[in-house]
Amino acid sequence: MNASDGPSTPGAVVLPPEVSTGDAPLLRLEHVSKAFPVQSSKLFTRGHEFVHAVDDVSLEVRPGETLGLVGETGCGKSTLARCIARLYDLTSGSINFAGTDISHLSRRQMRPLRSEIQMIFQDPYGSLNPRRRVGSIIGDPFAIHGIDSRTERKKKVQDLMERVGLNPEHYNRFPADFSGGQRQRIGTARALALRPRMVICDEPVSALDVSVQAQIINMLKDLQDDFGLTYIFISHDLSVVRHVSDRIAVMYLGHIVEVAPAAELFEKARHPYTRALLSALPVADPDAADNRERILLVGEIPSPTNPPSGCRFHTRCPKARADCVQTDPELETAFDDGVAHLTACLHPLAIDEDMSLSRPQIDDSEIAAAPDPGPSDSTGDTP
Amino acid sequence: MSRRSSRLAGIATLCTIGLALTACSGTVAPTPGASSTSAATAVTGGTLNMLGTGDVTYLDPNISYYSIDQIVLRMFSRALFTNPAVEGKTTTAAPDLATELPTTANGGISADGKTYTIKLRQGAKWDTTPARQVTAADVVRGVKRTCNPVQPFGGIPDFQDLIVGYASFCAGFAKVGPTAPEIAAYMDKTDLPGVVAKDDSTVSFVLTHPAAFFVDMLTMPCFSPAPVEINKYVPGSPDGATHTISDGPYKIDSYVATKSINLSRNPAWDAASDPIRKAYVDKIVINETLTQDSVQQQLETGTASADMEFDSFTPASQIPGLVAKGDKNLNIGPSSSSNPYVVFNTVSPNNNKALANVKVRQALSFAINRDNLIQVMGGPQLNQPLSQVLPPVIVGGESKFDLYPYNVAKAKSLLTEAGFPNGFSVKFLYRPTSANSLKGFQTIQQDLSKVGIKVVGVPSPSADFYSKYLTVPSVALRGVWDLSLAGWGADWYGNAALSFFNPLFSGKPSFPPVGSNFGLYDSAAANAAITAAVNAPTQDEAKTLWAAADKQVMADAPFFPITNPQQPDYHAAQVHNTIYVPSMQQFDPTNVWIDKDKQGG
Amino acid sequence: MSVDPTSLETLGEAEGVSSRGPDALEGKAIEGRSPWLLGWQRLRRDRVAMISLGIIVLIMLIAILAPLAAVVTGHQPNEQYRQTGLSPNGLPLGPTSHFWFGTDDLGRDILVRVAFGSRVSLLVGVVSTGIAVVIGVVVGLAAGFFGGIIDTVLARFIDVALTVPFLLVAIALVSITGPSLTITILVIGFFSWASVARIVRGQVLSLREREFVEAARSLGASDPRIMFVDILPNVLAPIIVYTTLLIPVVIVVEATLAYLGLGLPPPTADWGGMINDGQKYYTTAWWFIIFPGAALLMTTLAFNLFGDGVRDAFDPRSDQLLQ
Ligand SMILES: Nc1ncnc2c1ncn2[C@@H]1O[C@H](COP(=O)(O)OP(=O)(O)OP(=O)(O)O)[C@@H](O)[C@H]1O
Ligand code: SF4
Ligand SMILES: [Mg+2]
Repeated sequence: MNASDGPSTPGAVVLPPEVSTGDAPLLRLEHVSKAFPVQSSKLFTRGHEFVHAVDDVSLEVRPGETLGLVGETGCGKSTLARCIARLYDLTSGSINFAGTDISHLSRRQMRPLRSEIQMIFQDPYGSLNPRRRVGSIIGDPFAIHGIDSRTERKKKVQDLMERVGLNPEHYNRFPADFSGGQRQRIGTARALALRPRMVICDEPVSALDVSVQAQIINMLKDLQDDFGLTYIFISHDLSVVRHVSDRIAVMYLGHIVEVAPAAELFEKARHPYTRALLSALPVADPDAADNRERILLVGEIPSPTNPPSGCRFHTRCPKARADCVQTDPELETAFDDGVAHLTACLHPLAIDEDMSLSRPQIDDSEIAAAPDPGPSDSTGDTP
Repeated sequence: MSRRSSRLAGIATLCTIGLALTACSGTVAPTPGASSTSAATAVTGGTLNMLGTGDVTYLDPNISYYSIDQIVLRMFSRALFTNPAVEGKTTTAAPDLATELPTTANGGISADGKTYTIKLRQGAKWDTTPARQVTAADVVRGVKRTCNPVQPFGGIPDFQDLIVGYASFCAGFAKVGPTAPEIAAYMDKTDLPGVVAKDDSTVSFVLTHPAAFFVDMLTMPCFSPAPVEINKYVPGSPDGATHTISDGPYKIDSYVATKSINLSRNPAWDAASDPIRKAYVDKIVINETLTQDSVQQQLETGTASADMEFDSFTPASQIPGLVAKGDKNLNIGPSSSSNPYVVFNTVSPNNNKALANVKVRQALSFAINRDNLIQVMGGPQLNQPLSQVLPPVIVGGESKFDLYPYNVAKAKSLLTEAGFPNGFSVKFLYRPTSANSLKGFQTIQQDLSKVGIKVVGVPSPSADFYSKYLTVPSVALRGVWDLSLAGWGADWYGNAALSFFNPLFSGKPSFPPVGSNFGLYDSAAANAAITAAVNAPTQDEAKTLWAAADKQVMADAPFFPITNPQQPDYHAAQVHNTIYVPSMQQFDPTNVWIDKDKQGG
Repeated sequence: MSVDPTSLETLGEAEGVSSRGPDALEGKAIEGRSPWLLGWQRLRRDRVAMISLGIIVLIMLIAILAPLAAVVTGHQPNEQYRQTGLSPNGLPLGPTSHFWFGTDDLGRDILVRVAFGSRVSLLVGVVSTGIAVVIGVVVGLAAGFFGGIIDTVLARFIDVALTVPFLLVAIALVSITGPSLTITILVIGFFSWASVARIVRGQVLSLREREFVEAARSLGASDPRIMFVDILPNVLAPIIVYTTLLIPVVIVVEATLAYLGLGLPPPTADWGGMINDGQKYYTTAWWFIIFPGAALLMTTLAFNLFGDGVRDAFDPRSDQLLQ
């Protein structure tokens, strides 16, 4: 395969079958967007502004794989996850799960599908109802879907508890009686109760101690093997994602900017943003750390309410050029990358390119604007 | 409350102002206030401090209708006749502006008994500059003003058909605009044939029929003269109240509504022309802003700044203690009211019109224990038992009788005779905000349960009690209530039986809203007995005929009288010659004197 | 008011296990201590709250056993003892061995009437509060949970209900309909829900954004299930606190209505009505106003102090909740 194979259709990225395990994708997102209306603080623009949390995202997830999703906080990861779980209605685009278009299903129609797609939430405290007993929380999926009698349920719940490494005798305890890691096990048990095919893990370990993180990740891996699960694994921490993911998608301001097999992403990051993220990773070998280029991203993430024109990264990108301000790059293969490695950049990085030497080359007003997202931020405008 | 019961309304008002309505009832029993005739010699001078809890309604004799108003009128306004502050004569008429009581013998009453000629005293003067003699024309003006279109007198039904031409004079007056000039113009150009100024000092009243009670009726202040200056003000207006012109011993120096009234000597008044008022004190200061309890407290301490009550009266709860102590400053005086009484709705459709049956009403009368009611309403000291229409101070009510002494067995057998051996259920209309109404209802409820009659309460807000219930005949006809508690007081004293029978028991003409025959009682025999008594030519005959009418009404049992309540009044020890006058329900302030050392304040 | 069935049911279970299990201590450790149990344990240590609870229980016993007071004294609540209990002048008689609390102005036994009066106060207090809480919880839940136009309308409605001069309206209504137990209960109930609704709405507004609600949604739970199974148990603490504190308010409102002559029709014994009658005699017959007054004061005080205790024990953060 080579660059000439290219994406089959502009925008809609469909991986050629030969890259995959051969199965049809379990999940396919096409041009998924989610915008939230916001109450503007400005008197005259009230109700006319939107947060473009997820903007034109197309992705595929294959059965049994783990897709990592990384990006800085606020880039829209959770929103995308909730869109997939259909906790949100889409603003546009479509989601196809196991051959069914679920993007327009009503809550009632979604109900049978709930057992197929489950979520593990970021906050092990907030995601468990503090007033309910663990047994009842884990048994909730059975109760909601009317599966099994109370006594059978209890047995199943205790089996699940055992499966996620909890003492089944703690069935009657309350969430407050457990540690953070244990709670995440509870959340996992609940998510697995209905034997879903896909589990979206939204930063399942971010809130946990580093020592506990590994335990949970290992547990998740074991469960994936045992139950044949497909994961979407969200994190803002690349090193965590690297451990678990087969492929990794990098998100910036609602867009996917790069997607590649995990190892390839770490070796051949093409997108300046990905490279910047990678350079911030702590490395075990101190010598290596010294030699590594350090790319410090200047400025803050622009507001998703009024994202920058062209490439959204251009306000912070060291490689930005005049065309970056005008053109919004599509996800496509760069250089000789395989078709599984797509990058949305007009000036992708060569493998040995030292980005720390690059300086933005856009006209003065744009340079001036670059370090400070203010002018591109709607809040800086006067009504 | 209907206008005709306004004297009573006055009482009720007083009672509401004070906390305990109980105190509205009383008894004639011992009169510890024998202090009224004092051995010491009277001294003049000083300020009489009167303590009250509320204001007068009007400072206008031709409009005022309440006993509280009469206290102030007594000071600055003279009547033709009045009840004097003389022991034993406080309910008989005595000449005030008139030179003498009219009789057939002295020519004051015509042979046919229909014309009363009254001569006015010389020397009775208005406090004008210069002082001006009170004339017969002033009397005519006063009587004419009673039915002014803005604020007519409340007791008009007492005499509107009695004085020749009065009704049509008033009908015309009612159409006049509400301004002072229009009112004055109508009075000037319209004759009232029944009230004529013969000359400057002679006024004559012409009646439609002989009326032995007429002189007693003339003690009502509404027949007082009015000076021509009064025409400048709309009757009953606040402006008029602050521009009074006095012909009494005192003139009003200042009047602040609901706060105070200050009076001082009227220089135009000549003691020689006034046999009624001794006017010992120089000034009278009325404070209207106190509470019943604090008034009593201040009077008992005997400070110079607290001499006697104004509208206030002794709290009921303290009376037994004061009586036990033999406190000489307490007086328990008579009133001419029947308050409260149980009224039976004789037209109620409930229980197969049970209450239309005289036997049932008699049974109820036997079953209600008057002693119980009197006890809970404050005991016999304040509530003289009344078992007939007329209280004893009214001509015709002197001899007592009781057709329905408490008797459960009798009540039961009457009920059986009437076809109700197992009793029935009656609706009792009462006012939860009135203590006596509340107590009466609960006590009667218990009494009647002993003869198998179940009493169900129908509570009514005070404001609606008369206006939405009792004075609306259709409400009675619908059977909204079967029993209730009402009250009645005479508008004048002495020969005043008419003032009971006419509005309460005289058949259709007495039906509400005009009359106060709330139970719509209509009996041919009673109507005839009343007509006979009304037309009695002499007071003696009137006495016998009214007593007969009383018996007739009581035999029909349209109501169950309970008590003739007594008025408790208290004065400070330094006040002497305290003579209780029932029409004021108070000691006459124009005849009291104060110890020399307590004259200040 | 629905209590989370799971937690209560297992609360019972918990005790069973700990005593039945081979190792009681082990059992205890395994059993979760429910927030309710923890709250109750905190409450148990609150001396004032426990004394108040004792008084509340006592008053409830008095209400239930009121007929016993009639048997012991031999006096019926509405019977007038004019010979033994009333002076010839109709004045109440003070406490004697015969009438322990003295008599009222109709010669009735104040002790027996105070006992019977507690029934009215408690009945109105509990039932009216119940009505208020049910309405308030439903309205508050719906407003907070559904948001949008439903919330806008209901929140307006709550604001309006809160600004209604309750006592005036109650007086007007009772004057129109005439006083009765049902009317009193309904009027008070229907006018006290707004503050409950406001509190519940505020709590639900923040609760519905919590992840466990999201989690329930992702499991396919229906709106009613989320409202009543997931959210309601979390507002239960403030509801319970507010309920305990609303009861004395309602009791006082009832007493006020009765005091104004709009309570239960006489001769039914009713503390507010007795206080109204008794105040006319405060200089001469202290017992007439003191005993019903003390009963009212003690009851409301007990409920208030208990409510404070409940708040501290179950909802430590809710100090600001009731303004
Ligand atoms: N319900 C909502 N209403 C309005 N704006 C929202 C809503 N949810 C998220 N946003 C906004 O959308 C953007 C993306 O939020 P999202 O939570 O998806 O980011 P994230 O990548 O998950 O961040 P984090 O790492 O902090 O979880 C943010 O700017 C956020 O403020
Ligand atoms: S498109 Fe331009 S601005 Fe965007 S990442 Fe590539 S180089 Fe940077
Ligand atoms: Mg997130």
